[in-house]
Order: sequence, then structure tokens, then C-alpha cells
Amino acid sequence: MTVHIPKIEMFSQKEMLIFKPKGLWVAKYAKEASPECEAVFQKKLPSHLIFDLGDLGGFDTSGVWLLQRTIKALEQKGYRVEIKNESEAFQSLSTRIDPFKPTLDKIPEQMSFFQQRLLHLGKVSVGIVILARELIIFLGQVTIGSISVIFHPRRLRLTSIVAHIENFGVNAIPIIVLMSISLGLVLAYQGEEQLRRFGAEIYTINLVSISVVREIGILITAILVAGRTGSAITAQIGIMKINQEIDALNTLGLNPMEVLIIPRVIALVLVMPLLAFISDIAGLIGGGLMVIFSLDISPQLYITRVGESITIGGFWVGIMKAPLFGAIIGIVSCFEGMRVEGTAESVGICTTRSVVEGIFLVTIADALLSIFFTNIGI
Amino acid sequence: MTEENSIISIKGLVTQFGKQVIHDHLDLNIYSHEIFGIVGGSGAGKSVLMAAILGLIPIKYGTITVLGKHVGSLEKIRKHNLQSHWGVLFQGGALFSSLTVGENIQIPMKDMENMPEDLARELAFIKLKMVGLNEGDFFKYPSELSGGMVKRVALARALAIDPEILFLDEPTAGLDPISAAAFDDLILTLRANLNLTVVMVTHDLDSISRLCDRIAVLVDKHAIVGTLKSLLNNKHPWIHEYFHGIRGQAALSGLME
Repeated sequence: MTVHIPKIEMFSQKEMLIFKPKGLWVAKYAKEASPECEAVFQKKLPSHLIFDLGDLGGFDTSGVWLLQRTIKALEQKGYRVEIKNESEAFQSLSTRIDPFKPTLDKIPEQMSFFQQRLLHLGKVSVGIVILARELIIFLGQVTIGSISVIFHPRRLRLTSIVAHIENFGVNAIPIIVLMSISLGLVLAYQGEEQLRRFGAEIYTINLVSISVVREIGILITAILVAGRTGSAITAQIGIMKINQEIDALNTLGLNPMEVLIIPRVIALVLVMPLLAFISDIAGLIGGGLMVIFSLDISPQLYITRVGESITIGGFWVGIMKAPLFGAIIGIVSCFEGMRVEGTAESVGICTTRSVVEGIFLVTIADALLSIFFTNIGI
Repeated sequence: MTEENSIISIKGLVTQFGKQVIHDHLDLNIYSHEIFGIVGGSGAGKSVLMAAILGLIPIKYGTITVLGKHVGSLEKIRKHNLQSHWGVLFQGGALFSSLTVGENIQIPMKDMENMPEDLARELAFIKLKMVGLNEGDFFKYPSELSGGMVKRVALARALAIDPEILFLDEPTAGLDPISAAAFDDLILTLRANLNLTVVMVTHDLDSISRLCDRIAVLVDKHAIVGTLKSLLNNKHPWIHEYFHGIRGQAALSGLME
């Protein structure tokens, strides 16, 4: 068996040193060949060097370049280098590479750690301001688009809206029910634990029903929808943008705003109150299961107590927030989808941002509304 | 030529998607150092044939042998490490969009062959210039390139580790005639210098007449193989129409006389 691993053998002859590369000088063995070439420079060399290429087992671009690079470097250092027994194939590949020798070695200037952090902070801050500005512009565009669609109802894409309602709403019911029931259970369990110390465990029912209907039901719905539907919208619109489908719509005289964005936003606005209502009921059922078993009260009594503790106002406070949250999620996810640029990585970044921004804005809006409604006494 | 010096040999290949049969007991031999063209109508299974050789789709029956190794699935190809023996140029380029041009070309060198960093970068420069691009393109992202440049970068990536076999899926589609001709020249020089075997799927009759030593025409789920001259005399209606239609006449007028 012949030896494949590339090696450079050296012989001294009179005043000269002969290098004899052996083995396969191919990409596969480049990591072995590279140190062999570097080893040449470690030796104390006479001024006259010979490269005898007669025993070269095989080579490709990487091998030829490695040898050529070594010879060039030696020549630059003032040695006289002679090449012997060069095969025709080696020569032809070598001349093909020669004019291509890489000259550019562009490595970006390194900044100090402090400078880098400062630059990063600046970029992020400016980015947030630009983001807010663009989001407000987009909000304006969606509003204008929606109003014009309302005045020209024929441009409203009903089929599309219905399909989105099924996708965003009906298909989301199982997961929302499951999450709301378990949250209701947890809330009742923990609430009862605390209230029992004061002998007020019966008020667990008030705790569960008021918090679920006013806050928890709608919030968990919004978070789930932002994660489930918001991310899907961003990824879909983003890929459509990369595939030039958005450009295609524009050239066909179709406004992406009317075809893609407004139907999605409308579907979310319509579907969110329904989902929030379902979540309320599921949360009350979950809390009820816990209360009925641990407090040993009848289901009828639970329902009566729930009815007493929830006011009509409290119920509407919860449900009224739903369309607003739906609009926030829809607009943010479409906005981020339209911001996707070119790369697969950017789809990932925008989808992440869509979910984070959606949940962030929903939480902020919820906090503001909560203060508002409490102050006006509902 | 015999089967012994064939570099790729396909016997009784059957591929199907659901109930739709794409290839029905197809046989094919590709010999070393030739440029082998695969032509056929849209939906005749040209790209599917290439995907089957590359192990990207499952095959139903038959055997595929590449460089003496039985393949037919990605597992077997990985076992024999065939990926470092071939380079593939996909139709759309398939460059990694989150990496720069230079990083795209360096991927096979660094991740498959563990080349030292500096050598990989220098070789990436060499390949980039071999396919006719400039040093300045090295740091660009694929989304900043034109269609023709994407093809060239993809070719540079396919050539990164000097493969023995080069697969090209419609290399000249979407290029202007001048770029397409330059691309053909490039393939010819590269074959002469790098000892390549080239397998190309193409529609481009000019490329076929200039480059291909032998051609397989995919018709009726089989492959009819021959040199361009022998195929010109083939009586199969599709093949006749293909080479003697208006476009065929225009492209091959020099050969017909």
C-alpha cells in the first residue's frame, strides 16, 4: 500500500537542500499537508533550495496552492528556489491558480470591548426609536386601509377572512381550553390555600371568578394567540416576501394591505372576543372543579356564587379588551412579516420579535386599561 | 467503454411519488472524465434522477453505484463519505442565505475536511476568482448578488474541495447568452484542469452541443443514451422534435449539415 499522507522529505546535497513532497496533496489531507509546509520555515536553510516534485502522488487545487504558497514565501525571503520534475498537469493547474493568488486580506478593525458595547447600545437604542416610528406608520396604513375597505365593502375579502377565522380561532380552541382549565385549577388551589388561614375559603370562588373573567382569561388567550398565530403570520408573510409573492401582488394591481394584512387583522379582531369568552368559561370550569372537590360544595352553589361575584361590568371589561389585543397582535405580526429581508435568518429574527413585541404591547395595554377601568369604577 | 470504468452506474431504477411513477426500470452508465448531459421534457424526471443519485429522495427498486459504492440513501452515502467526492450546483444556487459568499465557499473545506482557517480562506479566494468573480464579492451576502453571480458562487462552493464528480442542475438557466457561454467555457477549462466528471441536467441546446460527450434523453420513464450525432438520427418522436424543432435547428445548425 502506498502512503497517502502528504510529507516533505529533505536531502542535503553539496550547498543545496532538496525538498521532496510525497503522498497525496489533496483537500482531504490538507490539514496534514499544511504543517509540513510550515515546518520548512523552521529549519536553517541554505540559500539555494530545490523542490523536486517527481514523487508527488497526486494533487488538486489545495495541494498545488500549498506548495506554490510555500515556494513564493521562500522566494520573498531571498532564497533561490528551483523547481524540478514538475509534471505537465501540475504546471497547468499551477498557472491557472497563479493569477488568482489572493491579495486581499480584509479583516475588520477590532474595537475595544467598551467601544463595542457602546456601539451596540447606540444601535439598539436608535433601532427602538426607528421601530416605534415604523410601527406607527404601519398602524396608520392599516387604519387608512381598513377605513377605505369599509367604504368599499366589495374590496373586503370575505372568503379569506372566514378561512383565517377558522385557522386562528376554531383551531386554537383546544389548546386555549386546556390552558385555561389548568390555570383555573392552579388559581383556585393556591387561593384556597391562603384564604383557608382566615377561614374565608368560600371567597376562593370570588377570587377565581373575578380574576379569570377580568384579567386571566383574556391575557392567556392573547399570549397564546401571539405565540401561535402571530408567529405563523410573520413567518408566512416573511417567506412570501422572500419569494417575491408580495412583489407579484403589487404588479397584479392587488394591494398586499388589502389582500394579506387587513383580512388577518379583521379575523383576529373578530375571533379574539370569542376565544376570550371560551377561555373565561374554561377557566371557571377549572376553578370550579377544584373548589367543588376541596370545599365540598355542590356545582349549583358554585354557579350561583360565581353569578353573584361577577358583575356585568366586570365581564365586559374582560371581553372589551379582546378586540384591541387582537388588533395589536395582528398588526405587529403583519408588520414584522413585512420587515423580513432576503435571508432565512431574518425570518427567524422577525418571528421572534413579532411574538415578543406582541406580548409586550398586549401586557402594556392591559396594565393601562386595568388602571383606567378601576379608576372609572367598573 | 465497459461497465468497469463507469463512475456512476444505475440499474433498474424505479422512483415514484405516491402512485405516479417517474422512472420505470431505468439503466444508465456514466464514465469517468466525460461531460454527461441529461435532457427531457418538463416533468420527465431529470432533477428527480439527480436527486436519486444524491440520495435526496427514496428509490423504490434498483441499484445506484457511485465510484464503486452502492448508494441509494443518505445513510449509505454518509457511510462511504461520498459527499467529499462530489460537488452539487442546485438550480436555484441554494446558497446559505445567512452566510457571506466567502463563508459559503469555505463550508465544505472547513466542515468536511477540517482545513486550517487560513488555507480555507485562500482557497475560497482562488475558487471565487476561478469562477470569474472579484475579491470584493467575498464579503457580500447571497441576497446582494444577481442571479448569475449566485450561480457562480454556487459553482465555486461545489468545486471547493476539488470533487471528482460535479453535478449541475440547469447551470445556464436564467443566464444571459454571454454569461451562459462563459459558463460553458468555464466548465470545459475546469474539466481539463481538475479531471472532473460532469453530470449536467440542462435544457440549453447550445450547452449540450458544445459540452456534452454523451447525452441521456429521458422519455417514457426510460433513458435513451447516445452521443449527440446518434441521437440526431433517433426516430423517437419526442427526441426528433427536440433536436429538429425550430430551436434545435437553430442551435445545432452547424452539426446538421
